[in-house]
This record gives sequence, C-alpha cells and structure tokens, in this order.
Amino acid sequence: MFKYLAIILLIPLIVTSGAVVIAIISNPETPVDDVPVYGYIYEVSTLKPDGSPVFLFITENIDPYIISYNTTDVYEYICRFGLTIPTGTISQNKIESFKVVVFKSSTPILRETRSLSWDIVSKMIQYIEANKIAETGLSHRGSFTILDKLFQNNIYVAVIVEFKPDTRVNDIGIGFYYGSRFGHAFSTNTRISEIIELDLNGDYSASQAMSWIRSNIASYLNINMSVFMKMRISPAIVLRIITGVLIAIVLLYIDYRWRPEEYQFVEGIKKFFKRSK
Amino acid sequence: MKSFREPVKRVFLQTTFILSMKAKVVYVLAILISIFISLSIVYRIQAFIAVFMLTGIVLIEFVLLSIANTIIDELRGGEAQVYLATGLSRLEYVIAWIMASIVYPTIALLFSLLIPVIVMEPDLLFKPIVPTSYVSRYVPTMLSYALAVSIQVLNNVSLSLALGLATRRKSLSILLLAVITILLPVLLSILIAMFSVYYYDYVEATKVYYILIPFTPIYTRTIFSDPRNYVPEYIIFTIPFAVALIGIALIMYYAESSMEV
Repeated sequence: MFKYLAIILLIPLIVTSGAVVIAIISNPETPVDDVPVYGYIYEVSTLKPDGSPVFLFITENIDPYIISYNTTDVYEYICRFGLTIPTGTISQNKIESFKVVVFKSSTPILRETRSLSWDIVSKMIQYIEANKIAETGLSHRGSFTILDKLFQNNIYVAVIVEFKPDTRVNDIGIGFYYGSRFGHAFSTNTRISEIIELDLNGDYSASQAMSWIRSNIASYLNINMSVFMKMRISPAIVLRIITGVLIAIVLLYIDYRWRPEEYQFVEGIKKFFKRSK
Repeated sequence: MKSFREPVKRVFLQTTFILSMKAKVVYVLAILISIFISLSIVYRIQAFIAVFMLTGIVLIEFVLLSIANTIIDELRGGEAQVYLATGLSRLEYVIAWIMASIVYPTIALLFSLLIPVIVMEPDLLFKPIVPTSYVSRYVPTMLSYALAVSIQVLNNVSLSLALGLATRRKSLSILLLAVITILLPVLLSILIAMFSVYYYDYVEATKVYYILIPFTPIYTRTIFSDPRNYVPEYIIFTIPFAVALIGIALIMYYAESSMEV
C-alpha cells in the first residue's frame, strides 16, 4: 500500500522535474505580451531658466497591464522598453537631452496639458527621478524586472525632452501649413521658448499654439514596451523536489519493513556488497 | 486494539493486491495530469487548468468508475468467493475495493494536481489561477480547484458504485455518473438559458444550479463565484464531501447487510 502511495508521490515529482528541465533548455527568454502604451495623460511644457524649452510627457498607469506577470520561483518577467521617433519629424540635433523613465508613484498622476513654470516641472522631474525604476535614452532599450513590490504602486513611463534654446517650431516637425494655424502672432520660424514664455504669461494664442505643439511632439514619441519571460530556477525548487523524494523513500522503507519479500532486489544488493567486501 | 490490527492488515493486503492489478491506469492518469499542470505553469497558461478541470474531470471519473465497477464483475462471476474464502470478511473486501478504486485514485489526483504547483509555484495555491486584472468576478484559487476536483471524484464515483453494487448492474452505475456529470449540467444549462430569457436575469436563473451543489463542486464552484450569486466555499465543499461519505457508508452497509456472493 505504501509503495503505491510512494509511486503516486514520485510521478508528479518526476514529471515536474522534467518540465523544469524542458523549460530551462527551451527558449529562456520568450516574449509574452506587448504593453499597450498609447498617448500621454500628462503633457506639460516649461522653460528652463537658461531658456531651453522642456517637455514632460507621462503615460497612463501601466500597472494593470503588467500586474499578472510577477516573478516566481520558476520564472521572472522582464519588461523591455524603448522609444522611437519617426524620421523627418523632430530634428535630433536640436535635442539637448532625452530621457525615458519608468517610475512608480504611490499616488495617481493627474491629467494635465498646459505650460507650467520651471519650479513646478522641476519638482515633478525630481519626483520622477527619486521614484525611478528604469531609464533609457533615445534609440536604446531599457529593462526592468517585474516584481511583486511594484504592484503596490502606480507605474508610469515619463519622457523628458529638453530642446536647445534656439529650437524653432519647424525643428520639431511642424510644417508651414499647420504653423499657419497659429494665427498672426507666430510662424513656423518662431522660437518655441518665446511661445512658452507668452503662454506662461497668459497669452491665449500662445496657449493654443503650445497645445498644438505638445500634442504633435507627443504623437512622435512612440513607446514600445513588451514583457518577456525568463526562466529562473531557485534552490527552493530543488529543495522541494528533494523533500518530496525523501518522503517517497520513507514510504518505500515502511513498505519494505512491512513486506520485505516484495523487495528481493534489496537482498540481492546486500549480498553483492557482502561479497565484494 | 489487537482486534483491529488483523482486519486492518487484511484490508491493507487486499488493497495492495487490487492495486497491483489496477494501479497502472491511475499512474497513466497521474502522469497525464502532472504533465498538463506542470507545463501549464511553465508556459504560463494556467487559464487552461480551469478549462481542463471542468471538462477533463468527466473523462477521469468514467475511467475510475470502470475500475471500481470490477467489483460487480467479481461478485457476479464468483471470484469474490475465492477472496472471502481466505478469511476476509465481506466488509473488509468492500473496504479494500473502496480504498483501491476510490480513495487511492482521489489521492493520486490530488497529488498530481497539487505537487507540480507546490514544487514550482507555491503562491499559485492561494492565488486566482487566472490573472485578476482582466476578470471582474472572483476566480477560485488552485487549491480550491484541486479540492473541488478531488471531492467531485470521491462523491460521483462512490455514489455511482453504491447504485451499481445495490443493483449489481454496471450499466446503472455508469448511467448515474452520466446523469450527474453530463446530462444534469447540460439540462440545467438549457433551463438557465430559458429562465434568463424569461426573467431577463441570468444570475438569478443560475440558482437552478443549486440542485448540483451536493454532487459537482467543480461546476458549482465555477457557477457560484459571481458576487451576486456567491455561495461560500465551505458549503460547496462540505455538502458534496458529506454526500460522498454517505455514498461510502451505503456501500459498506450494503456489504454488511445484504451482499450476496
């Protein structure tokens, strides 16, 4: 009876060990899912004290898309992300600095689309830097491991773009036709810093123009984010398998003590060792 | 105490003897279930576990009942007399069959469902097996599913075997199992569909499924998981478990009182 219990304990253990081995041998990092990151809920422009226009874009909370993938004993989930800008849009030599940051926030980020003073935006950037999970630059790919502890927070992707002070409207891929919509006050040759300054001073036309510029830039910043699965064999798995096998051996030993006549091969092994001595 | 030892030993010996003939089928089932569960965990397709448990369980129950029904062949063919002549009482003989054909496969089923999870991802035991962010309603945990499957097997096979033994007809036991696991759920689903059209309330109509609570915890666990028609797990598990024990008690009572060899 105990022998049969030991066998049904050993069967799942052997099969599980086999499954773990198969999983290690076959593709250790497989794509699992794409995280749909479309558009931004937070689109803010500002002017640095040195006159450089700065744009801060924050996506919606991506936590619901990755919550189902948390690291376990067998595998870990890695989120890889990057950002591409289509050619012929933003002039890359006008970019002073560029950052894509994945950060966590205990409170939700509220929707915002306007120009704000550098004091406020710099504090926001500091907050993002302080809660950073991972970071990458332009045309690179960053990654972070999705862990359980992330899920206690909201997770966002922020894009921080700083342009050179002399950047003009046509440098960020807005052509003449669209520029003409800006009205008589601005042309595609107008410096962005000038428009932001007017916007911050309450100019309605500038506010409309900046709204148009921000949404255009946002449409060019395409975030790609995918979840990959990677096998991770922890010693705990091996330990659990060994524990199971030990329990099965104990059951077999009890069965052997109860009915030794069923285990003739044990007597044979004993005799073999006695002979070899 | 000594008076118990000899009968227990005889039951164990007879169970071992039966298992030496019948255990291979259980091994095959255990291997198949373990492969399915462990690969589902490795390749992260746990949602299939729920589907498998809802549908595969029927096949498993029929296989196990066909093993258990061998006792009816032995009784009708007179082979039982050979075993009883060795000093085995009728009750011991039937208990050995219950152990080998109902209790042992249930343990095997529970092991093959839970061991891959315990070894590879113990968290899954107490977590919903389908990611909750996409599912609005309550999703049972792996432990809850495994218990439901095991109790259902114990319940359905013992009740069907009880009927088979009482009538000495294998066909009746198979028919009862078919009614509990296939016909009744299908008929009730049709009724629910009709009622939900009539009353414009699907959740209210699912209450027809209360009839199945004493028999099929795996179905009722799935049906009554919506917050609006939620039935606590202790009811869903304890009632069929109690019915299973009644089924086993009936088999033993039959063996003691009116079993003719």
